[in-house]
Parts: sequence; C-alpha cells; structure tokens
Amino acid sequence: MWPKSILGFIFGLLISISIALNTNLILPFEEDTRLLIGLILGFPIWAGIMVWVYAFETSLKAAKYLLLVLLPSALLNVILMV
Amino acid sequence: MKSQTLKSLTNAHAWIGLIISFVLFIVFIAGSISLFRENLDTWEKVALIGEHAPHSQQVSYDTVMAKLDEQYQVDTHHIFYLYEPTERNPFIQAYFAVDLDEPHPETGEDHQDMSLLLDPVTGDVIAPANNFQFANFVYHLHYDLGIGRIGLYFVGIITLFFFVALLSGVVIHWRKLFNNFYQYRFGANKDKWLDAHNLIGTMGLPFHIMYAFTGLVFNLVIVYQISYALILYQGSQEKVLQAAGFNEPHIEEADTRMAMTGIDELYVRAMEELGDVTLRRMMIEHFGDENAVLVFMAKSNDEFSNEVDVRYTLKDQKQIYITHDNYDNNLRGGLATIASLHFGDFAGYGMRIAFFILGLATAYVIITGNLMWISKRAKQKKQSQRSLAFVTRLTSGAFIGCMIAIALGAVAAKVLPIDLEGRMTSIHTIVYTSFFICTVVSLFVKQQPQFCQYSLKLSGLVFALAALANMPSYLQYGSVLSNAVLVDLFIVDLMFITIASLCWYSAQKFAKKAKQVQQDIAQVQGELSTS
Repeated sequence: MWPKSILGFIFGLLISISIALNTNLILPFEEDTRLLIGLILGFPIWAGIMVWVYAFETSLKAAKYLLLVLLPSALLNVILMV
Repeated sequence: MKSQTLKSLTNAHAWIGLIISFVLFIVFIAGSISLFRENLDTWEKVALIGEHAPHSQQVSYDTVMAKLDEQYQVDTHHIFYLYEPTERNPFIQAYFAVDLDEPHPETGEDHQDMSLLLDPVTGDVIAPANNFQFANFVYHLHYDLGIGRIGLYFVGIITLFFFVALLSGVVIHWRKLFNNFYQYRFGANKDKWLDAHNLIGTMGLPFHIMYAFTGLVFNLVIVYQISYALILYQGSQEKVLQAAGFNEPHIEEADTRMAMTGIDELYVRAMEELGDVTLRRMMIEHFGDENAVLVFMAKSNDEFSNEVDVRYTLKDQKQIYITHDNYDNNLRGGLATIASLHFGDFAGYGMRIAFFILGLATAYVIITGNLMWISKRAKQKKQSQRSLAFVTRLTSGAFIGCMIAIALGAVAAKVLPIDLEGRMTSIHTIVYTSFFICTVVSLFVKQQPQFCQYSLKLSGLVFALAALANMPSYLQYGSVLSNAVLVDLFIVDLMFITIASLCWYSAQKFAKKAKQVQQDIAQVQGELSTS
C-alpha cells in the first residue's frame, strides 16, 4: 500500500498543480477569481488522483495512466506560458 | 465496477483509515471542543472576571496606550495587537513585543513577546494573558497537535488522506448508498459497526467533505502558494500575496518617536464608517513611531462572511484605506467563506451544536473503522497475532488516552491557581504525559475490555470533575457576572457533562463485553474440566 500512497501523493500533487495552472492560464476571469478557482480545484483533484491510484492493481499500471494525464496538462502549460 | 477495483479500494479505505485514525481522532475531538473556544476561554478565567467585577462600560484606549508606553519598551517593528473588552472578556487584551537589551536567555531573540490583560479604564495590568490559554491549546491540538509548523503540515497530510478515505468510501458504498441508507443490523458486532460506520458516514458526508476540504486549505495552502509563486510569479511570494488581495497600504517607519494618542476618537469614527460590524481586533503598525498606522479589522454582522477593514495614520488621523467587501478581492472573499464554513460561526449556537454532534459522530466513525479492521483481521489465519494485539491495544490506548488527557487538562485549567508560575506549561505537561501514559499502559494490558471499561469510566469521571470544579464559580461570582459569562459557563459545563455521559455509556458497553468474555472463559474451563 505504501508504494501506491507515495505514487498517488506525488502524482496527485503534480497533476493538481498542473490542472490548476491550466485553468489559471485559460479561464477568462480576473486574476483573483482564477486563483480562487485553482485553490478550490487543487485539493479535490489531488485527493481524487490518490483514490484513482488505489483503484489500480499495481503501482506501475497506475503510473502509466497518471503520466497520460500529467504530460498533456504540463505540455499545455508550457505552450500557454511560452 | 470490477470486483478487483472494489477490493483494491476497500483495502485502501481500511488501510488509510487505520493509519490516520489516531491523529484524526485527536483532531476531531479537539476540534469539536474548540467550536466553543470562546466559551471555554471565559470558563477558564472566570475567577479573574469575577474578582474584577463590576466592569466599567467606559474604555480609554489612550490612557491604556500611554501607560503601556510608559511601562514597556515596546518594539516598534513588531505589530501591536489590541482586543477590545467584551461582555464575556471585560479586559483589554494587548499583544506586543518588548525590546531586550541583551538576547533572551531561552529564545536568543532581541525581543520578548508580551500578552497582557489590562484594565480598560486605568490601563493597569490585570494578569498575563498567556496564563489562560487552555482553550487556545485545545484549538492548537486540533490543527497542529500543539507542536507548531511541523504539526500543521502533518495534520494537513492526515487531512488529505482523510479526504481520500472519504472519496474512496463514497465509491465503495455508491451502489448501496440509497438502498442501504437506513440499514442498521443488531446481529453480529461487525455488521453493527459497519452499518453505524456507513450510516453516520453517509449522513455526515457533506459535513465531512467540507471539513476535509476547508482543513486542507488552512494547513496545506502553502503548497499551491509556492507553486504559483514559482511558475506564475517568477518566484516572488510578494506578488502572489498581492494578487491574493493581501495588498493593504503599508507606510515605512519614520524613526521618530511619537505618543500613541487619538485612538479613542478614531475608534468612534471607524465604527461609524464600517457600519454594523463586530470588531475582531485593532492593530498598530510601527507602535511609538511618527508613521504609526491604526488598523480596525471587523466582520460584517448583516452579511455572510464579509470582512471589513479601515486604516488611519495616527499622526494626522487620516484614513488611508477602507474596504467594505473582503478587501475587494475574490480570493480573500473565498478564504473568508471557507473559514466561516469550517468554524460554523455564521448561525449561532444551533449550528455549533450541530457541528459538535457531527464532530463526535465522526470520532465514532473513526473508532468503528478501526474495530472493523481488527475484527476482519482476527478472522484471517495468516494474520500475525502480535501485530493484531498491537493495533487493538493502540486503538484503545490512543483513543481513550486522548479523552483522559483533554479531561485532565480541563481540570488543571480549572483548579490551578491563576497566578501560578508556568501555569500553561504545567497544563501542557499534564495533557501530553497522561496521553502517553494511557497509550503505553494499554500496550501492556491483555484484558482490553476491562482496560477500556475502567479507563473510559475514569475519562467520564474526570470530565464530570471538570464541570463540578466550576460549581464554586456560580456560587462565588454568580451575582456579579454578566449573563453572557454565565451562559458561557453553562455551555462548557454542559459540554463536559455530555462527553462524560458518553464515556460512561461506552464504559458500560465494555463492562457487558468484559462480563461476556469472563462467562465464555468460565464455560470453556468448565467444559475442559468435565471432559
């Protein structure tokens, strides 16, 4: 259970930050509203990702799917910020 | 959903629940009591309030400031906080720092924090406010276990796993969420625990999710703050804070001494300008300096979770900033809403009582979760008996230890003399030591039902003793205390009696169980002797 917990904790954090940044860079609202939306989304995404990891049989399989979520989101951030 | 997925999630739910249960139990018990923090604060220092009654309705901040300035070398760089006298706390409370000629022998700092209760008319020091911090200590146990910043982040991570346990619980239970909503079987213990766990878990779900989320915002917001600063604001925390609405004007120090006067006049003006509000606190930036700024921070009485703020320079009494709507920033507005939801401070005592019941119910959900884990593992042949016994004993010791520790802390807060040197240190020691002793003793006791029975009875008795120890306050000061103070005393006593009754009721349950175990042993021994 520990490998899944650590994997979920780290990937959950990274994905939540990345998606919160996506919303911050995409949504057409004021800066403070975008920050609030990111804050509200961040923790549920983090916890949701952890639950998702626990649902897999192995950590390795979970890691593959997590990368499939993280990479496009991170790439989108890079594109939007450059 | 695949059965394998369900199995994985069920295992994860049980495992996470067990790992976080010990800390989460403390967080919920201390949090439930902390809902009545202000009442508990009055309860602790009622002797002081009674001794100085009747209380003057007049307040002279200018006199108080002049006296403090005369008696202490107030540190100009440190914020000076002032709390106005209220019906339940009739003293001015001041929190500031004094300059030291030599570094402090313990902290090594060039200043020392001061927290004083002052007479609102003369400015005389009534007592050091740090001596009456039991309510604050219980509140700290709730959010950082009383161990500072490390505890804050640790509780944050525990809360994150609590959120995960909640979400996984919803996924596991989803198909039966409505069909089995009212199911409560009186058969085997495991069914009873499972039904109670699911029933309370489902009924309290919105409350649990709200607490998990808002708690996370309080304890782990730093994670997003840092990541936003690094990625969006070129590593500048200052820019993040500005975007988040923490951008009230600040004036640099002039480094020229000036007496802090005109506060009484500004108080009246601020209350007029802010409208129908409850003042939370006043602050002076650069106390004693020519560029000192007086800040009034308040909360709107007629709007949900609306923080208001006005600032004046003391030199010329000029208003430099005012906000009537959460610093005109949506993030700060959102944070204020999150805080109100968490503290349940928006709908009077009814809401707090509901939160209190739900808090204790959550503690029960945590206990039943552990009991189910133990019961399930006990049936598995491969399960190590030693580790099972360890978890069983740790569950009893830590959960009941938390109750005994807080109860003993409450008794100490009531009976220790108010002028005792190191009073709060003694209370801290009593709480931590009793928790540790109870947990360790439990690890060595084989007869767990008996241990639970007697230790729960002890917890109940000590909580009742805390309420009983307050009875002389009614007799001694009942005639001079205000109604608000009497209501505070009554609420805290009632809360302690309620917890005492719950402990006693649980002890009776364990007594039955212990009796049953004894009968089973006698029966087995009888059968062995006849055969």
